[in-house]
Amino acid sequence: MIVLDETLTLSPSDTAKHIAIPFSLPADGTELRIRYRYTPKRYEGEDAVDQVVACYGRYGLDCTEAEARKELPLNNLITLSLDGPHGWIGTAHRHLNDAVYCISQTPDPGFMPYRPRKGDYRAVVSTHAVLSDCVTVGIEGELIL
Amino acid sequence: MKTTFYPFELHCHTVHSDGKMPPDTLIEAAVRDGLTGVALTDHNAVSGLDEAERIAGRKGVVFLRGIEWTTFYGHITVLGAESVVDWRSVNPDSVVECVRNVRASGGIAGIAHPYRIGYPICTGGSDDWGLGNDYGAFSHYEVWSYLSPQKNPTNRMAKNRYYELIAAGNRLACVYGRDRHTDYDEGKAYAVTFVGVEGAPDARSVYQAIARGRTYVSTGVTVDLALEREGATYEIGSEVPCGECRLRIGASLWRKAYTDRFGVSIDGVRLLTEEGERFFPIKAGEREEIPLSLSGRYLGVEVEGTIEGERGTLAVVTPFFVKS
Repeated sequence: MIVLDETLTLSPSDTAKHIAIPFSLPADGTELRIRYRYTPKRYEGEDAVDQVVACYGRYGLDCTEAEARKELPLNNLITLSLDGPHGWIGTAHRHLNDAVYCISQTPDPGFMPYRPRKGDYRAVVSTHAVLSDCVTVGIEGELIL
Repeated sequence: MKTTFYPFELHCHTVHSDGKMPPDTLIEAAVRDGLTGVALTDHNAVSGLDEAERIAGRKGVVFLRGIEWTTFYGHITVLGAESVVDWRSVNPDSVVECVRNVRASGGIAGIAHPYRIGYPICTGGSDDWGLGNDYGAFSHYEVWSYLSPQKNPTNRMAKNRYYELIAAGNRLACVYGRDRHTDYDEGKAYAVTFVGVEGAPDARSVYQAIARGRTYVSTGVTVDLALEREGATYEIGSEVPCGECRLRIGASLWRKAYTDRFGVSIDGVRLLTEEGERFFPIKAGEREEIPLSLSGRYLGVEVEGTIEGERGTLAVVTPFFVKS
């Protein structure tokens, strides 16, 4: 049973936000399977080296172009959390940009053991870094009865 | 009861966030590294704590339940009250209240890698809380981070900032955060945080010891240090009245497997105050008794020597806080 199918389009101005996407489970289930992906992962802007040098400069550190290139690629980083009727269920804080997370009594790492129950939920997208002009985030949720 | 210092690692990650190892590998690595205990501080996740705690118990490792609040504004390691605060609610306007809630629940919270490079390389990696010098709510501060800490210029910045905060009146324990994500060390030296407890260490006594400043960070040395004044003996991290006193200090090499591998030797101790620094040559196993006249806000102590082929600071001790 599909319970969530949402697409977000983000820009750099969306950095440093927690974006909540509400959805509901119409019944109890054995597993909630969430497919989470965003693209692009890598920032392909031509100013990437300049951004690294500027970043080092903000911390009072020198950085040559060669040293800056060692920090590449710069990446978009967007993580996923899940809240249920009784609060926070967990967070997947990883650098993967395409994953399936299973929430059940034997969940994937990051999430507490939880039997999906009928009620209101939130998928929360946390935008740690949106560097690309357009980042597309897709979240699909399937309830296994 | 005598205070004994035990080596701990206070900042680690597993597959429950972006680490590459499961909890059992983390515990095995802690045993291999000669640690008494280890904290699991996954990024914004607590799902690995129960499993890690069970495994640590079977292995005789003291386990510290924790989380690293990995926010847009900085990272904070929270130990002992990992589920009190929703990490998403932590921002510059709320951080002090959030940390106080942790402390009120019996936990401790500290600044992780304050000078790690931040956005866009590592969002929130550095301390961007905008607190000025007001760190009174926090219990600890990572003066060293990652492997080969002496070679990292951001660690020098962190240590300098730590002494600024101490001079401004903050009581912060100095700690090391390896920020461990894997079970290998790339052939580089790791540091440890020695935590001083009375009796056998457990999680609660470790949190209390860190809150009281009974810590020093070290690469390969142990420190035996006390300050005596008018018949009273003061331990590191204690508040001491200004005036005449005697500092008793000795430094020794830690585990032979470590000191041989990374080439550790001791040259002496450095005393730091707001007025300046003084160096006293001592060798491993030697003890020194130094008469002092305490003034200013703190007396810092560091051990210096050689590691990984370079001369540098081998240990940083939480200062004595001088009361005028």
